[in-house]
Amino acid sequence: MSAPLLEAEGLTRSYLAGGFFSRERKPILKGVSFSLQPGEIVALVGESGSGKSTLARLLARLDMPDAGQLRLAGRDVLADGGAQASLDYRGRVQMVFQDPFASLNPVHTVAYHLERPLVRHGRVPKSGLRTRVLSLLESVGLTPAEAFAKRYPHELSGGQRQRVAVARALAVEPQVIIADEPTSMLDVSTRKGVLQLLRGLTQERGIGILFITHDLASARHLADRILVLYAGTVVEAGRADEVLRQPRHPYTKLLLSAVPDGDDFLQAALPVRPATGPAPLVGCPFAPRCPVSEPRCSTLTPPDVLPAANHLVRCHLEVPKGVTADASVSS
Amino acid sequence: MRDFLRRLARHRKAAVGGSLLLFFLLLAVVGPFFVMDPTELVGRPHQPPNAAHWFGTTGQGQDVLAQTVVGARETLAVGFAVGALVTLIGALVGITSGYLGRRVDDVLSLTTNVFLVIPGMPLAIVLGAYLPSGPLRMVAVLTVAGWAWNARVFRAESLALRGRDFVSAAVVTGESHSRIVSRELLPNMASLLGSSFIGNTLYAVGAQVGLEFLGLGDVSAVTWGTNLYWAANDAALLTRSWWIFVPTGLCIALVGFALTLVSSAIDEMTNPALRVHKPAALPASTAPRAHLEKPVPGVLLRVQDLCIDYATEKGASRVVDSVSFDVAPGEVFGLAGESGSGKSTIGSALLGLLPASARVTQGRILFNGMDVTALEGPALRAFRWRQVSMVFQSAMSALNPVLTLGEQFHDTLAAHGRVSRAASYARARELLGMVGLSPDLVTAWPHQLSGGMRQRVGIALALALEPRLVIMDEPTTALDVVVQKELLQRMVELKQRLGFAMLFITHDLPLLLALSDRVGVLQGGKLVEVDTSANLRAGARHPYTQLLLSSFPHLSAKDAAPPPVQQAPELSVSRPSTRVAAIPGGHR
Repeated sequence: MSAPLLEAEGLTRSYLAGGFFSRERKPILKGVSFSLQPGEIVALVGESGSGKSTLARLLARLDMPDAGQLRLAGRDVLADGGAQASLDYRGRVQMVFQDPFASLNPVHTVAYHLERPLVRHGRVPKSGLRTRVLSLLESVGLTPAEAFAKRYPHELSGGQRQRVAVARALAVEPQVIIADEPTSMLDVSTRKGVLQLLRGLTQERGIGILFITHDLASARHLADRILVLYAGTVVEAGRADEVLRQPRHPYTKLLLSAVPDGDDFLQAALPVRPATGPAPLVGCPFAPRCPVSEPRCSTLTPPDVLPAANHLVRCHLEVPKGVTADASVSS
Repeated sequence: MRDFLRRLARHRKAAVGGSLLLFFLLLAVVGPFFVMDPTELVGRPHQPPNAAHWFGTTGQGQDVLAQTVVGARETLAVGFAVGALVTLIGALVGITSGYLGRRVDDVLSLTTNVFLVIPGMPLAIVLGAYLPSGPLRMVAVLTVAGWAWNARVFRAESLALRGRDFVSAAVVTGESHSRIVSRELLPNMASLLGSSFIGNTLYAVGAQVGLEFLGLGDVSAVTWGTNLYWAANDAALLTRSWWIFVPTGLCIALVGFALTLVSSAIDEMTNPALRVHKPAALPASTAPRAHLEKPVPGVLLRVQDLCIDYATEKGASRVVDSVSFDVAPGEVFGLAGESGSGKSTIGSALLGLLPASARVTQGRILFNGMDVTALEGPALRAFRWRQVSMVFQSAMSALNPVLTLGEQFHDTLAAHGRVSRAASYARARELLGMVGLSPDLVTAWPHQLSGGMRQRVGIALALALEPRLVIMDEPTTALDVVVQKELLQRMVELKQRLGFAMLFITHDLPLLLALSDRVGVLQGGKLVEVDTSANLRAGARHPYTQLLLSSFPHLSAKDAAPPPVQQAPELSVSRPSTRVAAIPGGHR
């Protein structure tokens, strides 16, 4: 087996909380690990505050983790902080932002947005710049490309802007794209097009995509694998169809039951207890809200359970049903 | 840019201010060639205006016209130079400080604040006393005294822009700091640069004239300030020689006026919120005004042939086009549509909350037989919230951050009748309990609540006066799915208990079908399909409804993407110690 394209191991990030003199830190990510293969789409789902966007910023190197490792094609990324190494990383890992109304600079044309990465990374000679910009626009379905290249962001619809943002990410021919809720700001009728565009990229070019979303339905639609994040911890991970067909973690079950799908969606009660304050730092973070929690849940960190191949759950209740990855419970 | 200049030329303030300014610039550049030497003693002192000296002579016998015209040159040159320098230094320091942040920001902010604390005038006077005389001294003194305030403005602006995604996107592209500042941030501050430059020039002209009038400038030079200084010295007021100081004073006032006009024009044109709309562009309403009609049984709200136009620069734009629907008492009616479909505009019109640039041009909104569009003043205030209330999309901004929840309930209740604070708080506790929050939260502040809790407070506020219709404008769009479902279930339960009708506005058609009795689908301001949820679910007839329905991916297996044909993905979560053991099958 070749080394995965992008591999994160125990990524941890916390922010200073409290007042000016307080040294208290609020953990946002608590040791998140995952891997991304070429041509694969991994969906990262979770509620707001679960650390999704922080993880995206770490992976896009807009922020530094407190601890953990990040490897790109087997090479440690965080060890070398030099400008050249950073540029090299940005030439291989690109990001598509959530809000296409904010991610394009209103004073620059579409062509400028696409030329900059090409020039910065020396991807094409000066003479070929124009042709490359036009072919990029065509590859994301913005035709006639000549007309779109001249326009300013405010002359485009939300869906068109997001296509420009995808084209900008594609300009450097990256191996990985981090897509942070790329469709949540778009009108429903344009969402599908953007999702299909992303899917096409993995199939045609073998790009690995980390698709961050709070929408389980589109994760199901698009992703090969799913990671469910709760309070900075991966609580369940596995093949998308498997995780969504047979969710094992109580939080995944809760998320699924809240998706507006079908006419009786409002009748079924939510399997949850009312939230009480922030997630605890000891034991299972979901324990206070979990409808089936036991006393040990709030004292012991749940082990990694592997109920099936390529399926991971972090829940005490799943221990009898699967094989724990490590018998001794580490916290 | 060309478009901006064209708009600038059409703008009346800009046109007046700009031509005035141009006139003085021309005067300053070519004027001195046409008048006599301003320093030469050409005639008797204190001569009133006459044929030889149109503006009269000074107390020394110099020509006032020549002094006024020649004075324009140095005054304006110093003014624009200081304006440019102050803007440049302020922008440079402010943007560097705001963009780089951390230590750099600490040092630069501290320096800026120190300069801000030192009073400008005394600083200028002290500096002026030590530096060698000449126009450059004035430029240096005024720049040192004036740059700090600008740095503050630009720092704030770049702090706001730095958080925008396009800056992050530029970082991810690999752009350098200097390029991000010069090509991403600065162009976005063009209007701020422009209006700051004009404002700073205004400051420079005023401060320069002030210093020179006090005799702190170069008294041998001819500027507007020294003109006034000599006028005072020669006792122009005592001798009633008004012609000595009025021309210079008028020039200073006119330049100030011109600069103010241009600066405010730039502000107005770049800030759409300040733009004045001309409602006259809208056609007058053609609907017959009937204030009261016999209520139709079984109909609480009747929207009849409603058209709403927005005044835009290109003329009236119709955002709601002949929309008609009824809502029965206790019914949940859903309005679905994408951005720009007019769904929120309809919601605002129902409460008479349309912005000033929008107007109902046709049709009626009958609430229980009463025409809402004709309501004004106290009648409208009494109608709002008591009959129809609203839950807004952004729970964050719908609550007042400086009032406790109890006070906000008291505000709402006291606006609709005399009520004691104690009674309001008791009602607030009851309402908070009703929406599933702890009654003790009456003393809490909005920032202490999560998004879902704030939206519950919004619902409690909407129910405070027991309205018969609650409009919900995308109340759950900003919330997580779990919180959304909790909130909706609570809403349905309250509706069954209290019996109000609900108009639910959202883009989420599947959600609407699960929640509503009937649903109307809006496209481009037109209602393209209205039917019961059951019928729409069984088979929507309009192609747009079908498109909307098919745009939402379902969780069920049938429409999911086909499984990828590539090799099965590797283990999803890798851990350093156990990866090897975990891969084959996951069992040991």
